[in-house]
Amino acid sequence: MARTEKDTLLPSKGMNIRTLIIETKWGGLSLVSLYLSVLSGVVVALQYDAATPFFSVSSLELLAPFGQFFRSCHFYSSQLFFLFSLCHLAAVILAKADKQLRFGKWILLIGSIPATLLLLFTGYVLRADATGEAAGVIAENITLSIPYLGAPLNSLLFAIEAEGMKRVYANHLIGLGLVWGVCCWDHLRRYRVGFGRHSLLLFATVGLSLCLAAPMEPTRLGLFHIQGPWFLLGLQELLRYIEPFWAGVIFPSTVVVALLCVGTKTPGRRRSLLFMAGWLIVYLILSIIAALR
Amino acid sequence: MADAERKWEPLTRRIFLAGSWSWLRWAAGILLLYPFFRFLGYRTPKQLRTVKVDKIVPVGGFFLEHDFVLFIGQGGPWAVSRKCTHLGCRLNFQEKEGILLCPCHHSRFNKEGIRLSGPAKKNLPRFQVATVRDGKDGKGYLVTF
Repeated sequence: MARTEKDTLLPSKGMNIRTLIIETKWGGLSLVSLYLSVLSGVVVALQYDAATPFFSVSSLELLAPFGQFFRSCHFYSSQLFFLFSLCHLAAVILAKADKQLRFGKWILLIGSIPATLLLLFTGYVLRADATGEAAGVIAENITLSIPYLGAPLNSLLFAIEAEGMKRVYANHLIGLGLVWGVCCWDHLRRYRVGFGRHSLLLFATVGLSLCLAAPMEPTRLGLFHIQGPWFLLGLQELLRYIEPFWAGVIFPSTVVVALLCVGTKTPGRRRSLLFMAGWLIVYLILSIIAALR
Repeated sequence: MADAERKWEPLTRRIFLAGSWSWLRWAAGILLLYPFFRFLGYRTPKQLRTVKVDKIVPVGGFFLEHDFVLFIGQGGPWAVSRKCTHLGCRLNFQEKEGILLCPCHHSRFNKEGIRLSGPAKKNLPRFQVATVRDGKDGKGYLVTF
């Protein structure tokens, strides 16, 4: 996808949103955010203990010198990595740069999106506060709702009820990163992005981390409403009305399949894009309803 | 063009063996998934847990523990699970309305653990409670689940 950095720099026809999206180097921004996320993540991991997750995160936040800063840095850089990756994908689709890729490579690159989402999600779960704990058990139960494959998949990804945070931590630290790396290896080995080229983003992220603590919500008596991570608000709302398997597995899978089909030739590409636009509108409406609750 | 010609190559022993070797490797890889998932799926057998509530709760009162809510009625104590039967979120007790409410998707249950509304389909499990009056560890309740 980062191929667009070179190939999709279209001649400027006035500064509209489309050209702005296409011409911005989202791939580089995303990669630099990832570097920062990994570095701060390694620092946080040196103190984090998966056996006592909430106690560990609270200690990190309240007692460890600069613990709050490193945790915030990891949190915000990871969020930015995910957001910039999505912008990068949007830019590639808008510039039709995906047509330059072989379908097999496109499938691999799209595979990195669920991996990124799971990396971000497991990060939420690992903090084990009210949101994290709820998000973890919901994910586990949704996974278990998949016929036949549910139990082995849950054993692989979560198993929180039986094993605590052990497997989630292993996946966050190694497993999912490895999957992401396999998906993006061929794509990234061609591009080098230095910290120096995105110093403004680095300063902004570090500055934000110094000023604003990463969210944490302790479980307490009288907690009658939990809002999930922002990117899962729509899903949380949908789970009120539809069975977990349909809301939590089939509905999100449809957009991934549509993304895969974007890599095919027209008219499949056009239909997929239309479907994705509709999906995103529905998801946005659901997220707004959930946010307003 | 070259690809099209290759497709019609006669099946020689060399091609057959090379193809078989490739399929064999894939099959071996897939077969290895079986012990892998069996290994991952192993769970240490669960033992019953007993939690002691170290206080006497007045009749009509309740006590919130991590895994259950203990209620004391005229007929004695009872405990219900705090794990929502929808997707497992931890329920909280809304004292004013006398209901257990799921903070994630707002399923509601009454004090007996019976589902009232929301996406949950099943009632909450009830746990066994024993009252300890003058035990060596003092007064309280033993909840087994």
